[in-house]
Amino acid sequence: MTIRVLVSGIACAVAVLMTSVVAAQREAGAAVTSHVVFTTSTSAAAVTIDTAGLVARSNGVIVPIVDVAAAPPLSLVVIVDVTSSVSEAMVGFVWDGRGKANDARPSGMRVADSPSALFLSPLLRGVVRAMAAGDRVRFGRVADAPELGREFATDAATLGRAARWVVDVPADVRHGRTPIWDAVDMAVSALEAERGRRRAILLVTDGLSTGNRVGLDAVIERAAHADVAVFVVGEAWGNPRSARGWSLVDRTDAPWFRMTGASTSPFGHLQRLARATGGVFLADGHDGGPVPERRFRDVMNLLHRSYSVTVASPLLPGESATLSILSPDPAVEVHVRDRYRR
Amino acid sequence: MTVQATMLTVFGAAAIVAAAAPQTPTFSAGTQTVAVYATVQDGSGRLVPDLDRDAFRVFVDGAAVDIVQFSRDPQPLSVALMIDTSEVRGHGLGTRTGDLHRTTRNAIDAFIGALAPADRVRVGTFGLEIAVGANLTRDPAEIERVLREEVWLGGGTPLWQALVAAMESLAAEPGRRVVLALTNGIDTGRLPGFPGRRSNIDEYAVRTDSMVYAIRIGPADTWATMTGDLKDVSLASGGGYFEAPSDADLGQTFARVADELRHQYLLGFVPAVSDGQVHRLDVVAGPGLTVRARRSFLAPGAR
Repeated sequence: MTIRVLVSGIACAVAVLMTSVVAAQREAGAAVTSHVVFTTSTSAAAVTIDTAGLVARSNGVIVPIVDVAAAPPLSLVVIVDVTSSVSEAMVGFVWDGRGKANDARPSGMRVADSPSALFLSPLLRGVVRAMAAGDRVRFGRVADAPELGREFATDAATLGRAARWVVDVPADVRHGRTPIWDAVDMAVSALEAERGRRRAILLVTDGLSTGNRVGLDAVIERAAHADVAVFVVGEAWGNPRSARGWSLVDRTDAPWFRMTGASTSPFGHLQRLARATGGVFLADGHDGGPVPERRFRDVMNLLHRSYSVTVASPLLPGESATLSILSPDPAVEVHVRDRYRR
Repeated sequence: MTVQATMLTVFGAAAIVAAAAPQTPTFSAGTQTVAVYATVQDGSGRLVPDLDRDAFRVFVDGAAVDIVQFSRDPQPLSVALMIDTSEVRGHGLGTRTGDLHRTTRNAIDAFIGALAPADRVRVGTFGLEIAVGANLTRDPAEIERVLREEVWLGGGTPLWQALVAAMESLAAEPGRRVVLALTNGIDTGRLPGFPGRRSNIDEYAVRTDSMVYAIRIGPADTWATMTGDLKDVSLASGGGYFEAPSDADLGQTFARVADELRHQYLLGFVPAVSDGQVHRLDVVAGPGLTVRARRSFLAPGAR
């Protein structure tokens, strides 16, 4: 037997052995846990869950569910979009009326609300007061650049100060970029250290995302793989509605005509973000609907009714796959990240 | 950063004029050489790309200066494409769902595709807010992402502020700096937190050494007297002004801009004074030719 033949034989044996080991690993499966929210068609938390009837699929193939349990305590990053589009609207143009008709210059006329008037009380009452024992919350904001508060906190006093910091933002920085995806990316980074907990983001925004360094697809990928669910409260934009805090930015007695406000709907991106990461999208402020406080409470309620579902994954370390979990009850919607990595 | 601080920063950048491509003429730091980019057209408006150095004459405050650097090769380019998303403008630009018209996106894509490998672009918008794109890139996928994810219709037209924000975003970039605005051309007022108004926009262009290219979209006779300012600003900066009556004209118009940018001459001269002041600049070529170049420059400061 030549050396070449000997080497070939050994190589074949090693290859067969490795294949067997990999197959055995895949068959045995590795426990992968994802956090899940069950809702009704109205996005309220589903009360009765038939956990025994759940079906999980990885890359479309049914995989065993090895455990279903109540989710661990919450680590939540709350990101509030305090840019002007959330609270201001262009309502018309004022024409200066000087000179010839064609020389008249228009000046934008805006009505403005303040982030404080819109969000401070809802943050305190809808989030801080709704925390459960063991919950950890960290506030952040988007105003030209994403910013996170100093740390996760559990006590109302610290979080009250943080909430005030969120809304106390100078007008000078509220009319620039709105890098929402960058803010989510930053929040995912902050949550990665919160191990063994139910990790989530509450994103409050109108969705008019601009000036991002990272795109939506990249952020979804990262959040889903980290099992960080993004719950979105989608604010109606161009529609300030607080009874107080309004101001007519440009005053004049000249005739003006009313402009239509929002002509676009950015909620599609937000819905995709929530759906892919196992979060829930809730609209706010449309047609006199719920106000922020109520929506924040809705999100906290959903998070406190989360489950941890563990499946036996056939993936090898480093591999990725799609993930879905279905309820036997067609009236129950299951919110779980749509992909995972071992 | 205050306006004053910004000006100082920009001045520092402007005093060190550099072109980055190794195969093209390079201005090293401290040489006090000033770069001028010139577009030359014949009597019928056609670009004239094959002139020699001897065809040009450069005047500073009316006095001729020597051209110490010359190149017909395109210099590296940084472009801030700013899209006017105002409500009025939006009706011509986008759909009710907020997506740019496909024709507009195609035109922008073709413009990006026509640039040289060393060139880079960032895409921003201005309307209810002013958002300068974060990434200066040559990656078509990233440009497409921004167009797909970050263009929202609504608001007014803070035109001058948006131009200044775009200029500042490029101030530290080497080579040619171009702000390309797609707009209805009618400024409708200011937003808090941004410098820039008609009265100082030319100064910002000089201090950041930026060329302003404007594509005004809309019928030519609409608000014509109001858009004259934009034309003046563009031409004074050595850029260009184009009109696209409708979206259907955008492809051709963007192609003209790209063509111009590929056929600019680089002229370098050493100013006689280093006083940190703005000086008048005139560039002329042969008979029957029209030269577009910036009409003033910032002399290096005294050391």
